[in-house]
Amino acid sequence: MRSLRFCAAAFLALTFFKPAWAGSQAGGEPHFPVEQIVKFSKQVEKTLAQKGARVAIIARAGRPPSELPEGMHFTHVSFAVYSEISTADGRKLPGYAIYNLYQSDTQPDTSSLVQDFPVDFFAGVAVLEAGIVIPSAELQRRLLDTLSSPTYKSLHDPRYSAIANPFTLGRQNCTEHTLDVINAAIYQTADINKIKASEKAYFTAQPVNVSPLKLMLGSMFSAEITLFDQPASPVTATFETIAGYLEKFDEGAQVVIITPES
Amino acid sequence: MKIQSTLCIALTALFASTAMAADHSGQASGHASHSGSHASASAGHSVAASGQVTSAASAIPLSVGGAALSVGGAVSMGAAHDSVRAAASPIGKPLAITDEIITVTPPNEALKRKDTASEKKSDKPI
Repeated sequence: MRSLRFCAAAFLALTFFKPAWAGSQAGGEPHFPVEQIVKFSKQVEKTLAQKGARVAIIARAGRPPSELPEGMHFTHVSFAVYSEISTADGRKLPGYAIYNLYQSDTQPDTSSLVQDFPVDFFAGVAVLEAGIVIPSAELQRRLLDTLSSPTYKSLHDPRYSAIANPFTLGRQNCTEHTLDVINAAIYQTADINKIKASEKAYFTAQPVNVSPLKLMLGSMFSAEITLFDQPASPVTATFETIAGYLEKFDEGAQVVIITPES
Repeated sequence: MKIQSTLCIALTALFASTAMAADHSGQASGHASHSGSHASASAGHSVAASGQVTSAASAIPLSVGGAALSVGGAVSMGAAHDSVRAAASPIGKPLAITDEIITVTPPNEALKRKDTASEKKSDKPI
């Protein structure tokens, strides 16, 4: 009888608790024709280029908004960096490379830093929409330095949680890593303790608006969900909160939402 | 009791895999260090197989001065002259980008030997 109750609880947790915002996987099942994905990804690139962005924060919607908790619209955040791209056939072309923190497919509680390109980034999205933050010129300069330095990798913690708390160490997701890199650039430091102190003082995180029961069951049965690094009311970083942070503290930062051109 | 436990474990495993599949489907399109059972169905492979893309071997950030950066700072002036000229302009000025669709090189492509006799194409006009 006890095992049946346990089974029922596990079933309920797995059926009703899907880490819908855990969109930090590479690839994914296509929801749109290839031609649409290709066209949209190039539109995003051209928009960045037209605005002269050397570095931008870029976000995608891996799940329909209706499936996401309140306050979350985008599920994965990365950096788009204007780059010299060496092709497999030996040419050099200008374009944007995407700097991601992707969750492992085989070990969902771990992640790695992976570089891909806009069409790869948008390949499996549920909504053809891009969230973009173009930082100020000064922050872009500092971000370029940070992204090209050992600091970028040193700030990566491969212990993954889809709802990682941006104010603590021990678990990290794509948004927390992005925020850490941004602050490393702002303060020109690789000292994670200084970065976290700044974030606690100035960054406003997003409450995770999911019932405590669901969260608890999810953390028991889903490797990518943990409450280890969370207070009683879990919080996490999102594209929206990062955009708000930069709008508030980085004068000249622009937030742009890109949808397909008609 | 044993049958109940076995059934419970089986049902839990079944629903666990179902619930997780939606969040773990797909693989990086051509990311060299990943190969997966879902590769044939992934969006990335659909794009790569469409024939509309150009595989990339690497990408290096371009600094404001146009130098190609790597770990440790600027290393060289980029060989893509259009991009170097564009990258040398102030931040905020429009940048040149290729019209080609760039994607990560699929593992099977990465494993092919380089053909040293292949014709090198010039950059397409941007």
